[in-house]
Amino acid sequence: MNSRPSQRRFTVKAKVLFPVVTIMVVLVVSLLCIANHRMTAQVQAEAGRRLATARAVFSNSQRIRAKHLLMRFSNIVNEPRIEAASQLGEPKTMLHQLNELVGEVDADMITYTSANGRPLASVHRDPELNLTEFESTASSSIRKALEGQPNVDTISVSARLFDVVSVPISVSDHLVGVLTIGTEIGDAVAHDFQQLTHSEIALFTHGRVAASTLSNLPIHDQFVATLGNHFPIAGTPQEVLLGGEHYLAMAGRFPSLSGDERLGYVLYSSYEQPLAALRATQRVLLLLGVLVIALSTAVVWVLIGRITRPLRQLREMAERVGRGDFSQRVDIETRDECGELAVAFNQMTGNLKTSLDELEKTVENLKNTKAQLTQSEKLSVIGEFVAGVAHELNNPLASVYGFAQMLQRPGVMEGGKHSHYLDRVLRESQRCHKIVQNLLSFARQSTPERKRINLDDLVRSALEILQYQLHTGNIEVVTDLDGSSHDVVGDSHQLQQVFVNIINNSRQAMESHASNGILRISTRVLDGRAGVSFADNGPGISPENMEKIFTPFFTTKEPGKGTGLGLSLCYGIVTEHGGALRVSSTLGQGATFVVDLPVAENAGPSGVETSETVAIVSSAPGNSGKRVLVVDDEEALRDLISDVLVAEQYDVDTASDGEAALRKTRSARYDLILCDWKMPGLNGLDFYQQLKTTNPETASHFIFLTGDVVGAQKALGTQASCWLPKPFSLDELRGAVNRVAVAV
Amino acid sequence: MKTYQILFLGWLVTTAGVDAGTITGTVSAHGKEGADEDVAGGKYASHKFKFAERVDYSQFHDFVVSIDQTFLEKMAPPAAPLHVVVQKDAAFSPHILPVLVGTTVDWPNHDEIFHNAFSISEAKPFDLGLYKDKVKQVTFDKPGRVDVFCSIHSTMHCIILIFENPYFAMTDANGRFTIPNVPAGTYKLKAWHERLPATTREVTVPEKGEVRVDLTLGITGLPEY
Repeated sequence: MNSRPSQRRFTVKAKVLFPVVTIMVVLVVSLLCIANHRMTAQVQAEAGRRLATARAVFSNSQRIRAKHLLMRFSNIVNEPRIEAASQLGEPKTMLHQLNELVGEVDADMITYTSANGRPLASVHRDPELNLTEFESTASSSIRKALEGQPNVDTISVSARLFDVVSVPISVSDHLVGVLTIGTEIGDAVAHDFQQLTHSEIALFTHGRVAASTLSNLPIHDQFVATLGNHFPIAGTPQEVLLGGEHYLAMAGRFPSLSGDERLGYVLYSSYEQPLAALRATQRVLLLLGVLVIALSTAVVWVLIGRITRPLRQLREMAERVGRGDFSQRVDIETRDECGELAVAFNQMTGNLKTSLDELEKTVENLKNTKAQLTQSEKLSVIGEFVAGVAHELNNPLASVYGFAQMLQRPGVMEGGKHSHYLDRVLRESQRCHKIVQNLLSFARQSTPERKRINLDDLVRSALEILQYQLHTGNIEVVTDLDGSSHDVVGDSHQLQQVFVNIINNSRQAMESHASNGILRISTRVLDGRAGVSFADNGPGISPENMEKIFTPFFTTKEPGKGTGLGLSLCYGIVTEHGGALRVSSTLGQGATFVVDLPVAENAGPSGVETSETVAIVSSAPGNSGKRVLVVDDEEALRDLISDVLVAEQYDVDTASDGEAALRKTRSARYDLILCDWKMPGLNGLDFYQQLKTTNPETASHFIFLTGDVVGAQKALGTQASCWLPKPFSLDELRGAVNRVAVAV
Repeated sequence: MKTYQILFLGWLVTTAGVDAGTITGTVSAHGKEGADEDVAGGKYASHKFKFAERVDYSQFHDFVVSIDQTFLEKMAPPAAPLHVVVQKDAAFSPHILPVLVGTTVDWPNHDEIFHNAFSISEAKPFDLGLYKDKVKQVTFDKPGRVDVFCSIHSTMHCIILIFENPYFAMTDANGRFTIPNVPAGTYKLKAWHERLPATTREVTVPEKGEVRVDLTLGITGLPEY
């Protein structure tokens, strides 16, 4: 997946993973938030419930306490000593009595009020307590007792809270006084309460703390601040933070006979523990959440990796197919979209392969067609000037004919003129030979090859082919050849065809335009490129034709005169050689074609065609007795060869066709067979093939005689055998025969 | 109180004839055998002593030693009321008062508050009522024990022991006692304490000189459980 990181900033993996992880994180975070909110609310609700319970417990315990105190102190007044002391009405005795009592009943303050409402004696255990204040704040309760009703009240003395019980003392149904006993609601009560409800409590009076179980914590300012004249009435619980601990607080008020509203309490219920548990749970949840995210990320990562694996495979395959490797198929057998894609991809690959094969086939066909076209174009050119060639052949033939007749005249031998005539016959027949050879060479259809070729030689050979046409067309050829040996690498036949085509085109153009055509051919080497330019003074090419001049089948000639393929083929050939074919023209003043080819590097094997014919070997002695079979349907040629070989002391036998020759080889043994290529009946090649199967020894000493070098070469191909092209000189014949015969 | 006793004893010495000896000795208290060790050993909080009051026996005082025997000759009670129980600081003082039969005791209230003295004991029931700045008197004319209380002060309590013969004594601060001028003979000597069972010992008083008796009170002979 990371072979092209610069191209793909986000892989499929990342694209899928990112939203998945985001969703997971959002999910987990929101879940955590909801859970947190819910649990916190529950914890607070729990604390609230506990607080409400605590409050109920507290007020209930207060009631019970008050009732209990009332019961306890109601009985005290029935004791004789109290009655006796009350009846006495003597302050000191009463004081002593009260002092005794205060220790006995575990009260904090006691006051005795006479029936007339005046306090007789008051005692306290704690000297800090203000007895006068006690007497005054308890007055409501005392008054009620003076009316005969025992009662309980809550009062504040010296900023401390007290439960106060006032009980009337009656002796024989006569009220003698009221005993008022104060018991502090202090730290002990608060701690009892704390033990009972596990809640904290702070008691307040007139804005000050009377008792508290939170002795080591500062009471929350918020509450202290509200402890003025209007103490908060028991209402909804409030959250407070005391000494770093979370509490839920609820306020309450003690009932007071005097209507004092500043006697109250605040209950604190700590929910720190559940909060801590909640935090621990949160941590666990958070950890779990992180784990879940990590796990799901890993799972998704792996899964996506597995899902995208087929995609990567497909990509690799696509790259292979892109390189042209159709050998492999995608091997994905999943039943999902990837599998379908793989199947489709395989089908596509198959189709592509078929298409490519078809294309290659088509290209091959096209190549073949092109080769055929090239050949047919060449033949059409030949057809064009074959009449000229025939005419040209007639001239030397006329000389040969004439001089041969002269030689037949009697007395020639004496006059000494015969050697002169023979020379002329020989020269003229050589000229004929050359004309035919050029034509054959041009017509030869050969496989493209790359050899070193001298450009000047090529130009000359092209001119030779067209010499007659140029001459008869009254066209003057001015060559300006570079002279230096600048070789190019290429196929001599193809390039020759290019030059012949261009020259022929120019000739045709000039012939139709003016009577005195001049064709200037020059070769130049510049910057490692060899250029050949053909400039004529013909009619030129019109600009609209210039565009189409290299288009196949485009021709300006009359129908039937040209194929329109010539220049397009030339263009193709030159381009294949790494060169360029350019044309420039001024209408009415001629056109110039320039063939531009790269110069061959250094000296290499010369492309100048070395004859594949047999090298000339000088006559060797001792040929007598060697049997030679000469097979040819031409009687003259057969006689000529026989005469030559007999002169060389060979034992010569002859056959007029393949059948006869085959018969002879069966009956006799031959050291050498010279055989014509083309014969009626069994031709040379068939004869050779049959001989090869029946008598391979003899077949290995075989020389073909052929006028159609091209055909013979093609047919023989790789088969080891020599051939001697017709016409041949006598020396060439002797050399070939001697060489093959010596090898016997 | 000591002054009165010494005077009284002096009087006894001078009035008695010959053939009389003196009983002298000490009285002490101790707890159950081994209890002290247990206390010291820290087992006091064990189940065995769960409900036992921790008592320091060595601090006990106010023992009374007497001859628990009737003499033929009747002893005349002292004419002057020499015996006084004072009400002071909401308490009777002395707390224990041994007297001869027929003795009259004064009950002055030295406090600023009202007090009362009453008894419901068989030997002498009485109720002096609430009073202040007064002296009231009670004559004990029967032998026995009389517990006196105050009706308005529950903590006020004293015990008057009334004997038939004059041969009795209270221990001093060190637990020592002396009974002089006891006619020679063999007697049952009884030691008493407010909070402990009394014990009796045979004692032979010589014609002349003194006999020494050391008595110990305590909780003994309790059944083991």
